[in-house]
Amino acid sequence: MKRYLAPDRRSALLGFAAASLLPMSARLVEAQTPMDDVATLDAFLDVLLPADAMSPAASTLNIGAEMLEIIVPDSLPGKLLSLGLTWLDSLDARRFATLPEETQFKVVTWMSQADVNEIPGRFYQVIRLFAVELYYARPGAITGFPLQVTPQPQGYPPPWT
Amino acid sequence: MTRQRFDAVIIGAGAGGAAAAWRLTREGLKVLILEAGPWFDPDTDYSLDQPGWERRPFPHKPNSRGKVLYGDLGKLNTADADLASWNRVEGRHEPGPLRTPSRSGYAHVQGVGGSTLHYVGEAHRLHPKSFSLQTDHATGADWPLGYADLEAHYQTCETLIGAAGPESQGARWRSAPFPLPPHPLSPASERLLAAAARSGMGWQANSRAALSAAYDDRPACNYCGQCSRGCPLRDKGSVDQTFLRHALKTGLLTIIANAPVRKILSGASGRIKAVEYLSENGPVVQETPIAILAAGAVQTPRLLLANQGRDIPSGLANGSGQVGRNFMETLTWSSAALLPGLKNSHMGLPADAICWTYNAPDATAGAIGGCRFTSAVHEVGLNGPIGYATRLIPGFGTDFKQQMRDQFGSAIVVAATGAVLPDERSHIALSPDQKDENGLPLPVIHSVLTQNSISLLHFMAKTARSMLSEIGVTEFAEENSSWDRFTATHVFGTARMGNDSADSVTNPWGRTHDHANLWIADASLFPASGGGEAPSLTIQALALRAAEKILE
Repeated sequence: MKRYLAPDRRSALLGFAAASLLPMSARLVEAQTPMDDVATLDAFLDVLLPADAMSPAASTLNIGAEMLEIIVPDSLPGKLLSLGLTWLDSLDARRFATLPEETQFKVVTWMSQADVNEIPGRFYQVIRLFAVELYYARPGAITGFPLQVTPQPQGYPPPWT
Repeated sequence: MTRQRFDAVIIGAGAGGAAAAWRLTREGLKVLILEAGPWFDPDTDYSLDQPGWERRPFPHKPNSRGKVLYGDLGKLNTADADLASWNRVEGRHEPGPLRTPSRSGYAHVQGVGGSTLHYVGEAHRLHPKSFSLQTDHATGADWPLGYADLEAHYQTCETLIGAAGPESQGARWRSAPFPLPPHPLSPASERLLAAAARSGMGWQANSRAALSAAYDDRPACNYCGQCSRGCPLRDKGSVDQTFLRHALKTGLLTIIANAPVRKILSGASGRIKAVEYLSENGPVVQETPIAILAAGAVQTPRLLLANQGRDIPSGLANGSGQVGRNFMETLTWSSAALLPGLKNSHMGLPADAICWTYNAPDATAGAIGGCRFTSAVHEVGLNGPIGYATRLIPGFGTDFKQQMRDQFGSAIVVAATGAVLPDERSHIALSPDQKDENGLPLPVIHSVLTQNSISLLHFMAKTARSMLSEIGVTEFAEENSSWDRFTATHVFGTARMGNDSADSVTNPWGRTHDHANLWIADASLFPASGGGEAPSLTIQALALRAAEKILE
């Protein structure tokens, strides 16, 4: 089944990605990583959203696969995704997915503080927004929250405190 | 030409059209409503019982939004940058030199029920002083009627809807109590009211078009907190569950959905003869002795302006030149924070508490018009984990996930809605070169904030921050503002009512000055926006008043 992002957020992310790519595109070489490089994306997403005692890692919930299903390769987010994955895999002779976890964590920490007008910083921001939206929409991600899986049919009758 | 006969044809099935239909059918008139948008079925369209609910806003369907274009929305003066929208995750929004439409822009629903389908459901009467801005403050425009002229109609609407509210709302005197008691306060609102009791600020339970007890064959609200995504329980007082449901029971109301009106046909005398709408089988001309235009403050002037002819070169009902002018948007501000110790703020009813202290036109120093404040966790979408992760809590990794669990339910928000005064630059125009699929020029929204609006926004921001500081907030996590982004859930004024045909479009009952059988029943009638009140109850009260005049 084809999945979609909520229209408002999708348009916001498209705009965000576009703002990033327009100034960058002139000085970038063609991306080399194929769009189906799920391993690199999964590894990145698992640094963002790792497994812990309460909830599984992003890859366990197939967030990367869902994201690739949503993002059209020729779109601006698709190009950003491709460029970002290329960048991640270009950091070392080994691909990002095979780097030690501590190294992956350091890379993502650096990306989270990087200039959002450059690819690493923009990739982190845009892909993080996609990822947390997809992840926290899954029932498996909200264990430990004071939430029901769905607001209806039970609602939240009082008392609340 | 259809052979079916109706006593009245109403264009638009939103707040005003539905109320007019209810009143007319109650007196035995046979009424047709032509609605440009679709039907929505609460059982199947509002999927709040399905995982992934937070990713789904109010559903979009074919024709469920009217296309609009944006023109001049104003420039940003960096001296007012304290009013910028921002959040902890994405930083400041759109730091360009121009004010731009937000993601939702002119937020509305085109469909049977109109924007009441996605409204939160505040049931507000206008402040009595808001009817006389020009007389009292030499600005804006006076209404050609007063609070006392609407009070009985307000009461009728509240009774039909099952409005739940407090015993008293200060200046808004009542001839009878609300039909239902107020809702219990949500955790965030309890904090605000406790602080207000200390500071003397006038917070109280809000009056709401949601049932605090079973009423009129509808169940009580179960506080899922998702009113704006569509109410599957049917306790929210959207007009499909209230006015239209009762009007349909009479057997005298016909509603045709997905039937956009393209032409309103007038004769030599100026009387409206018929309307032409598009059906699945092509154009249909429907004759009518009475036409009521209730398409909202954007589509109503668009239809009037687009129906030009040899005798009416500037459009229908536009002898005054006022059609499309005096557009007033919604002035909004919200400040959000994470309050340590607060739990379960996602539970309860949206907008359940309100502060009317600054609502009168002269209640704020430095700006005319007034504003009001609400507890707004749910309204701004901080009632699910995605809202927190995309806006309030930055970072990644296990620390981020733990913060999400620890802090979810601690969001607290004070939102403000304020008056907008008419201005020459703010109006609805027709696009000179872009048309919809039916050949009608698209409407263009021009809406510029005046210095009065900027001053009022500063007051709203300062007061919202101060209210949160009172309860212990030391760090804000998000602020949203009309200053840099046009977001308008309520729009007003583009076919205003008045006593003088030289400067208004309709008379004090909503009948157009130029066409004896063309009436208007939506927020385009408003000469002034009020001090931030939700307008649906006033639209409905005006529609009942117009219907009673038609029945005379």
